[in-house]
Amino acid sequence: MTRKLKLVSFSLQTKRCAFSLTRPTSSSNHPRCRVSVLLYSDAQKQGCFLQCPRSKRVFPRRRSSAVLYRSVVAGDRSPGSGSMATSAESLLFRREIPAESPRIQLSVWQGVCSSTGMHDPRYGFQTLLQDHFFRIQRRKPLTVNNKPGCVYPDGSLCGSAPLAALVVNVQKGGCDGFPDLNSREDYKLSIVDGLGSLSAVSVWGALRGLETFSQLVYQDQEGTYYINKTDVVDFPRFPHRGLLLDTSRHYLPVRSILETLDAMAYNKFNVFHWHIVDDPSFPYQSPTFPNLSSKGAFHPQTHIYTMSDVKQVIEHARLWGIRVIPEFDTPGHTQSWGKGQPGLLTACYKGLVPSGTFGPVNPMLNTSYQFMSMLFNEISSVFPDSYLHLGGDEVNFACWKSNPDIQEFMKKMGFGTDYRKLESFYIENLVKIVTALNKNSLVWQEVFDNAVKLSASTVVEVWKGSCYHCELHRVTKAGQRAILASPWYLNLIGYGQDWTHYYTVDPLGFKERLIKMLKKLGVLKLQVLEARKLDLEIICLQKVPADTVVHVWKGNKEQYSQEMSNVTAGGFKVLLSAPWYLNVINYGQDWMEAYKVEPLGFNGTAEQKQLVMGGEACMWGEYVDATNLTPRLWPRAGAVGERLWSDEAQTSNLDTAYDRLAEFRCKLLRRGIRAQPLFVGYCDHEYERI
Amino acid sequence: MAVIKLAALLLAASVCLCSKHKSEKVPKLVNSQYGSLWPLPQSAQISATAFQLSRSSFQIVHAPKSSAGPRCYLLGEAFRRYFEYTFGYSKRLNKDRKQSGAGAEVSELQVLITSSEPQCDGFPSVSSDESYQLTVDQPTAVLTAPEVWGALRGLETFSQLVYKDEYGTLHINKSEIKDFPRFNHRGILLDSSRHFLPLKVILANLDAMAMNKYNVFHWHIVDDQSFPYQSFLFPELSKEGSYHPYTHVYTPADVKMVIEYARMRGIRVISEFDTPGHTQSWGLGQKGLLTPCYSGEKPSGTFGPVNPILNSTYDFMTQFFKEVSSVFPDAYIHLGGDEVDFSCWKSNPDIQKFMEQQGFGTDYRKLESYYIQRILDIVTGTKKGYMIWQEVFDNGVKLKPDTVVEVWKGNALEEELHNVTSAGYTTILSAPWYLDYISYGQDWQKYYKLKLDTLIHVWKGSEEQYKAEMAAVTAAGFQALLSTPWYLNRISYGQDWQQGYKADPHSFNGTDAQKKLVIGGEACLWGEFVDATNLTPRLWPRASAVAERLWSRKDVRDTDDAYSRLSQHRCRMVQRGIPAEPLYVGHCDYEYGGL
Repeated sequence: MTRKLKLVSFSLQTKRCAFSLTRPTSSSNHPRCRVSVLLYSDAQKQGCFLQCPRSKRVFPRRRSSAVLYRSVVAGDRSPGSGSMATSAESLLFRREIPAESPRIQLSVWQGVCSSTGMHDPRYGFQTLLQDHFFRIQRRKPLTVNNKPGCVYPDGSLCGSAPLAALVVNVQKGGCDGFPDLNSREDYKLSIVDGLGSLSAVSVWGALRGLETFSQLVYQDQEGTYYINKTDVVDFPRFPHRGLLLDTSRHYLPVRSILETLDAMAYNKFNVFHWHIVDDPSFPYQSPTFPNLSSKGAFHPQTHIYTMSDVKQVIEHARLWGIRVIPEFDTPGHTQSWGKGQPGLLTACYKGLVPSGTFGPVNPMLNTSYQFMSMLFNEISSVFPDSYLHLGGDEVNFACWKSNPDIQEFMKKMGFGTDYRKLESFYIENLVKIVTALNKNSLVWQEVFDNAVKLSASTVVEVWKGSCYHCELHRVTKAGQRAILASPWYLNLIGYGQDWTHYYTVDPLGFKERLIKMLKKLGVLKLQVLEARKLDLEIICLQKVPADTVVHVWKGNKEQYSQEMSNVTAGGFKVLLSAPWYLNVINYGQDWMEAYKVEPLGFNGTAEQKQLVMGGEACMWGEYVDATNLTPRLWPRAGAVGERLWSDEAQTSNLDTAYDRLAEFRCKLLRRGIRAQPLFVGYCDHEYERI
Repeated sequence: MAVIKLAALLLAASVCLCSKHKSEKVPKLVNSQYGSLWPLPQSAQISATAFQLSRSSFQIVHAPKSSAGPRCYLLGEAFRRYFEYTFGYSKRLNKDRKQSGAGAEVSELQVLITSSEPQCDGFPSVSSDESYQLTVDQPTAVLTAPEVWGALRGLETFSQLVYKDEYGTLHINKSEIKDFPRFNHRGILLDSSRHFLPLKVILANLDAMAMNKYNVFHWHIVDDQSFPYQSFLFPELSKEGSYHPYTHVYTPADVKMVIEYARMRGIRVISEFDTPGHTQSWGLGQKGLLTPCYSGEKPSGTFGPVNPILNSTYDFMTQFFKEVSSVFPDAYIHLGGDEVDFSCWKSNPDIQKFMEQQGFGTDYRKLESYYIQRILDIVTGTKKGYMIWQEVFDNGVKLKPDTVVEVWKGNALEEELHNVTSAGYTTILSAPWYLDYISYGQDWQKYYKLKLDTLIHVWKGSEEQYKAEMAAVTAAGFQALLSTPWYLNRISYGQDWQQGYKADPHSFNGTDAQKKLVIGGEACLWGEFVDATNLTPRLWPRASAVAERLWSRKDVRDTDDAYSRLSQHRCRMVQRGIPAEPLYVGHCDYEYGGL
């Protein structure tokens, strides 16, 4: 994203009145209600509500997914009412509220579509944003008395005029489009007397701004809605803020996924990484290969995602400004694929005979690649996002090793006994397939690591041997700019001078020529090379496009920092997940560990840090299904959400984060999200269902 | 027990994510000969002969000779409940399906209560008879139990024997089951103070407890953080001490409902009103109850434990426990007594003076014992038995042992025994008391009158420590209840149910007589990090593992077999509307739908 704007992220420049509401303490007696409570103590707590004046105000029990910001606004409680007074209590003291309300009252207010930049009706502003407005519209607050305004310390009046409207001004349309990595999510929100205005470049920014707006609204004890005079200038720190759900180890009903998308939007996440299939099951129903799910799912009818389910998820996500990136992990983690696609997996051998078990995808058969080509062709049309996650993690070589055909193939290809080369061979082919479909790839870090681990000699052989120019020529001819633009893997540092043994040109001349050639080819990323003063001894020419995003997931802090450093030094974009494995639980406040992570904390140049696209919180499915997903995810993932969105300097304090997050989790509860508590305490409105 | 300081939680968790999909030791799924039974009955013979069940013809009825009849609405409700559990999910599939000639059918389950006192309107107690015998044959299955409590357990077992074939037809195999619990006290502790638990959550967990044959709901109803119990004698307690005086309280009606709902499921409700520590929330609504802490010469404005030197304290407690003992019908009250912090007492000059007067020196445990003794007396006056956390016992043990002998010698013991037994309580003669008046020398009689059936609740320490504690408690003749290995609020990644499953309340060194004093155990779910949002999935099916340990034979320890049965059992709970979390990768036919 563009970071040219010199903006202060998430700073609230609020002209607050310098005092807070004084409220009768809860020990004040209100004879009527007190009596009624005792009277009605046998008929549960509602007794009091029945007696009290505002008894008809009913909070929406369950927010249907269609009623988004409407209930969002309705559910907020006043930040100032942390102690006792709510609901019933507030009913009692309605007359006693001091007149000096420092806030702007939201009376009848509504969204208004500003037409600036929206002249072309084809942009369909309505379809996306109006939907939200519709949801935001509030009925008239119950009390519409015009209270006298409060007084600023300097004597001027403030906050008397009701906020009549929130005007949303979007420069560019694109309401029918999909969000992508370059979407502009910045926005400005200004609330002054009588008028709120939200301006954003794109609808995606407007969505983020609406969320912020809804978080600023609170209620007093009477149930009247307020918002403080506020200026917000906001934009995300990272463009990729993802959440991974695993629907293979346990099937997650579509409702679970949609609810998670809602909660993601509340936390300003913008990528749903759908780890849709894996070893245990294949719930994705492929029209091209229906056997994959009919044989590979836990149940062929009830435990699958039909095309319409997938479309529903994608559209729901789009309405929240969330991208859906599916992951079809190969060549490992594919046991469930084998059931519906015989011959796809490598047959494992026990001695000289097949053992009847299967290993990773068989990388030596053309049929494997034909199958992948067809499947990914389908996937790339189903999922509109420009990225596909190809997995590539945790490939177990034992089965490949046991298979005599594979051994033969290894010899033929000159791979020796290094099965990482075989894996790289497979991945390269797969990436080619995906690139040809005009999709970018995301891969787990092993793909990068294995390349690094290949011995220097082979690297050079690749360079020397495989006719780089021919390859380039072939590729350019095929018009595949992606490959063109990124003819290598820059990560192969530190092989020493070995390559000179194989390469006859002197190193300096080689580098210069290489750079020249690459420049000619329009290759970007050269700054990386240059920044590192060309002290790289060699360049690996693996045919993985350099705009492949490497997804770092392993190791402790030192290890993943090192990995981030290596990957970005190699010129690759990177995503961080290692410290955000939210499926791993610990007793206590483990959200704090996730919060303290600094994605840019690794050693590297400014250019390297530019390559950090963001991160993802991962919720692997071994121990998680619809029964416990939501409370395990929220509000813990909220900590990651803030780390990826907000300015690091303003969000370094755990204590203030705790306060805001605890408050926010109560908001989530009011919106129907079953978010678990951070620690001892309560919300005014507890989760009431089972 | 429950207070885990925040700081301790912030210990950097050095999680090794060595593998994306961390490999735990996962038990194998086997085809258990016991199907999905959980907890496993003492003896079960399940033959291969299968009978059909049909929604339209099957009935659960009172046997003609049963001492309970249609007027026993406890059983009537249970019949309906288990009919729904058995058939409720197969309505569509089974509606008109009548497989012709596909085999014999069980069309009736007769429930025969043999005791002349079937206990239909009674409350379960520690001595309730939960044994039953179930014979499944065609056309009639017979469930025989001395009391309704056994019948409830047997109905659960019957419902667990029913399974569905791929056509949706329900089957049950010819079976012969004789069953009774290994321990009489099988409890779950829920903490409604650190987070308020809405009534619905409590009721749902009572349902889940019945599915797992638990029989005690230990309601840790108040604590430092909040006082949600609405007392009719002292309404200020919840008005000031709860999180919210109307929405975050349990009214007397709520409490009644919980008790009745539990009774209908054969579950006792034991309330815990923990004193003298863990009482911060009490102080808000009962001025003068807590000890004012001093900073130097002046009160600091903060408060410590209950003030043990004032008569007003004991007047309050007398009235309060009188109310509690009438509200909660169970014969036991849990009095807490854990984690008393002495620093506030130490700071208070009045307390110091009192200590001098009483000759306690600087041993504040004596002051605590003094307080506890008076509370025990008060509760004894309400004709209740009591349970206490192990500290009360520990503090006694740490005092000089020679006085113990004096206690024995003390002439009052026999008299005391007489008093207690004549008061109609079950007493265990080998359990003569409270060890902690010990260093009072001859003074002890001044303070000490103790009931013999006190239950010591063991909750602390490592495996060695709690075993030693169990040995010590039972050696001293007290009844013991184990919770240490079953703090289910403590979570860790992976299959942590296995640890709870492997622990055994009898695993300490002791004589048979000592082991007999172990009356059971409780799984505890403290509320620091748990509220309605995550309570149920965190508790179940992890608490199910404990349930089998407490119900089934000691030698039922095969984790593969357990894993296989428990996986199915958790799916059954999910089907019955309990969001029980998964044990590991896999699926249920009916996934949880109550999002």
